[in-house]
Amino acid sequence: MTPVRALPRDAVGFVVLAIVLAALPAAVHSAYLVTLLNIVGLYAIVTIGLVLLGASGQVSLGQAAFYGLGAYASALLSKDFGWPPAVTIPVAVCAVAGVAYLAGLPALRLAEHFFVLATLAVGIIVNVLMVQLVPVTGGATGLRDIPPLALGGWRIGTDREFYGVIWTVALAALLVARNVTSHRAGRALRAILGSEVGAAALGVEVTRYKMQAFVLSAAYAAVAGALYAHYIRFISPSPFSLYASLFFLIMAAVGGLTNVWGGLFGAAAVTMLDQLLRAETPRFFPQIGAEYQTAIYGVLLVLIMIFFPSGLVRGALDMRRAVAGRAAAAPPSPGPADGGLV
Amino acid sequence: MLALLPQFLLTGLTVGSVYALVALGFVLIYNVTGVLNFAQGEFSMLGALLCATLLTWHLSLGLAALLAVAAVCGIGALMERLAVEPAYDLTAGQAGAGHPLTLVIITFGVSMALRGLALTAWGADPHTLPEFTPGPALVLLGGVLVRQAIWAIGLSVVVVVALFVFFARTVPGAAVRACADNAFASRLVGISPRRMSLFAFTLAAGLGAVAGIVVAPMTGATYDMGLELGLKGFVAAVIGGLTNAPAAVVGGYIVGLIESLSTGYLAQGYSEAITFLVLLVVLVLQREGLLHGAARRRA
Amino acid sequence: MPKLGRSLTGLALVALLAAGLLLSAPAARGQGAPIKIGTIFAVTGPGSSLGKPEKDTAAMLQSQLSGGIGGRPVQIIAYDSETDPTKALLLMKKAVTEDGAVAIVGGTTSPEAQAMADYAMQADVPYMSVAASTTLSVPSRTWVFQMPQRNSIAAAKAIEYLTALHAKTFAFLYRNDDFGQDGLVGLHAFADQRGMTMVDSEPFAATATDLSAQVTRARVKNPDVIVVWSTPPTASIAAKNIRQLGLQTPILESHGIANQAFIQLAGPAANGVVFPSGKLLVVGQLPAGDPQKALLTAYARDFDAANHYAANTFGGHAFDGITMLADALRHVGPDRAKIRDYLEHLRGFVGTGGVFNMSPQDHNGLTTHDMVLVVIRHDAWAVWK
Repeated sequence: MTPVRALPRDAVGFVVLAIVLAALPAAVHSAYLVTLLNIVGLYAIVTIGLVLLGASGQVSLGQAAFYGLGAYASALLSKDFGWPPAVTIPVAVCAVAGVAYLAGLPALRLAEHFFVLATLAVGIIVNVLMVQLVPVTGGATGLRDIPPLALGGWRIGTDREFYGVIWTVALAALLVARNVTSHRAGRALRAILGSEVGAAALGVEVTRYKMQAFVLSAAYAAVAGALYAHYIRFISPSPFSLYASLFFLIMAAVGGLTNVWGGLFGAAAVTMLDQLLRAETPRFFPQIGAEYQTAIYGVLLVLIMIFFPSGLVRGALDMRRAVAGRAAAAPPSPGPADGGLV
Repeated sequence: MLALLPQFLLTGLTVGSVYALVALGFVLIYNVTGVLNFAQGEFSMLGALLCATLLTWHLSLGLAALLAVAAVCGIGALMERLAVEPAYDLTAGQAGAGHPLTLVIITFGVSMALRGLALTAWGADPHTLPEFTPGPALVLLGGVLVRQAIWAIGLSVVVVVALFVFFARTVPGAAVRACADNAFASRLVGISPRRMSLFAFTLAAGLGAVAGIVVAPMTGATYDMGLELGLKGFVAAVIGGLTNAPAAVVGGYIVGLIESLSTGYLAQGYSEAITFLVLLVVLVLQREGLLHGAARRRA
Repeated sequence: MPKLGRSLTGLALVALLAAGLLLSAPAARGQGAPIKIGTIFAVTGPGSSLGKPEKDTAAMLQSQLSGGIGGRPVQIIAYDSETDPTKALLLMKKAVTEDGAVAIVGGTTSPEAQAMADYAMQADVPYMSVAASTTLSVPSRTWVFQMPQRNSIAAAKAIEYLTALHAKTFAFLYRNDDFGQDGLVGLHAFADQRGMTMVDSEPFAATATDLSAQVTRARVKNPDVIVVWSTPPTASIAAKNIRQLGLQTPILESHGIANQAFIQLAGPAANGVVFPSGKLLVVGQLPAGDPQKALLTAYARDFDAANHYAANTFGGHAFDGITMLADALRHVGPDRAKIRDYLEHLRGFVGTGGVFNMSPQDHNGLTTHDMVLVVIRHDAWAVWK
């Protein structure tokens, strides 16, 4: 599926993407679009982390908790202790990775869908704590006036400045994830995906690799969350609820759960689709209320999953192959989560 | 504080009975199809709101409830045919074993669609249903139990018994069980897993609708009530081991009791966190669920 | 194959972004172009019972403003934030930078409003908040105006009831979110000033289906009054559970129950419940000389005719925000800075929430006199004496 020798071509795609992303701000005039791209970038970081996890045959419904923990940890450290965000973000990410490690110790011993439930439970518990620990988190009302990001003497405040930071991080995240999945660890992960027992028999330290994937995916989410906190500069528990976790998972599944490009594509596709639906429908059909948009969105989601069950990226590849008349020769594409997840 | 215990127990039973009814639908669908149906709570919402609308047409409560349950059964069947069944085809190539994550996301899409449609049809304000048998609450051991709660508890027991009889004593029931055990083998003996899947969704939708209609007189009915009911019913089903109907009902009561007792005696506002902490402990201690009766049937 | 495929994916991503760019070409501006007011309400999600009447009010005002202002048509753009602060912020940026909205009305729940208020301050856009959180207007922020009686005013009005009953103690049951936590802080402060004691506080989830455990705990403390700070359905469930448990203690609720749904859901338990509210609910009983009477009557009538359900105070906040902006547009034209200056010195403006008297120090402009204590009697609202 991911031949190691594919590196050069893959790199071409990466370079093209980097150039386009670098050029985009010059072509985009509206602050809204830049903000939208920033949000896509943040979500993409989380989703690429989910794909890393998916590559080891696991699915998480608690990713928003790590996203939120990263946001709260960095926000509180910089607000209450006056540390510069450039310091608090790495500290927050390390702390969240530690939390993920502790949570992973018992959770990773669970089989398949019970692991998903464990992450769901962790996600809900974390969200309750955000609401309940009013003296620390500000409770449901949220946390205001979070210090802005500054690197050295350069204060990063505008949407465009953040665009540079967020997408640099996102591209780095993509690179790291790609390298992880296509090198030794990646082969181990794919072996686990195929058969945990088989992988163990071949000498793969299943638990260790699963733990690495889990902690790394949590760290990805924490990076995105910390950036979110210093970008929006206001956080409350609601964007870190179970439903956010679900949407991250949907993004990953729409893009393709075993392909790091799928993470990026899924985040972009779902966020853009949502915005197009909500922002453009009233423009063209003013009489259609937002109530319908939720319904339409749900139906679209069902259709995508029916027709592209392995994600849009794989779906597009399969379609191209089918058009080229090689469909018969090609083996059926494996699903996003062959290990029998959920 | 011990004097308050009876009330906390009765409150837990009241809430738990509703979770139990929702959990039954989860177990039914999961057993037959291996799908975790995120839209299960929406069936309850639709049942309650449809019933409220039918009542405004001056139907009797019994007739309105019956029609609402039948309508929701139809919606469940439609959902299976339009959204779930097509995904079986393209993913796994064999019925009854569709791709788990794909199917979960599909059911979530369905739940969004149903919620959006319900918001347009019924608006955001709560609707109300009358109590089945109005009257003052009963006093039991110093605690108070509302009459509607007795209906809910009674129905959860009746439904479990009815399901048990159906699965153990009737031919269609045996077919469903066979299909849940081994879809491939049951196809060999002429049982269609597809028909069983349709049947499971229809019946689960009906169960969900019953839960919604029973709870609405106590809590009111809103277009978004399905989210919370679905989640709690789901936890109940998992604590019960996901495959065992009586255990799921007990799971429902356990969740209800955890909520009321933790509200009553433990940290304020943390009851949901405590519920899920218990779920975590259950998962880790006993991977098959706290009350597993049968071995897990599906990987 | 996957090698080329991946480049294709990159290309597809680029195409998607480009499509997004094309679809969002900046709106035309100029003399004949419409003046745009951006509205962002939580039409779906947990805030929808407030957001939907707000959106329906905006739609109703669109037709009422069809004559335009100063020779230019007025367009009210309506977006749904899904009760999500990130989306609310994103849509506000869209309304401001793409649609060219001259001002923004919205922010149904407090977290959404906070994020939007911060952006209003960055972008120098007049922003009319429909959320009631006290911190939105205390201290006052240059570009942020608040339409509802802020929570501290509602709490002060609620305390008048406790004072009138000579209550010494009360228990406080509240929904554990920004609304309830704001009420907790407000009531606690006012009660301390008046020598009353909050003997118990019981949070509950917005999705709770039974509150008898909380009520049982509160009962042990023997409070003179039980105060409930929530919206239906939990506000109704609380009242029901209190009566079911046989307590005859007076119940004081919040301005969050100012809709028919509360009475329907609570049934007989609703009778006797007192709550602070804007005057919309009791418009029929207002004295003929009340400055708001004519406006409230017209709003209730028009809303019912347009939407086939009864108007409530939440939709009224959207009404006040949009009509106040329309008033500013008539006087100073579509200039953001001039609108802001006009709003800041607006005095005697009659809205559904009260008679607004803005000042640089007070961007809410309402007092306890703009609220009444309402009691539910025979399933209907009446002014409490």
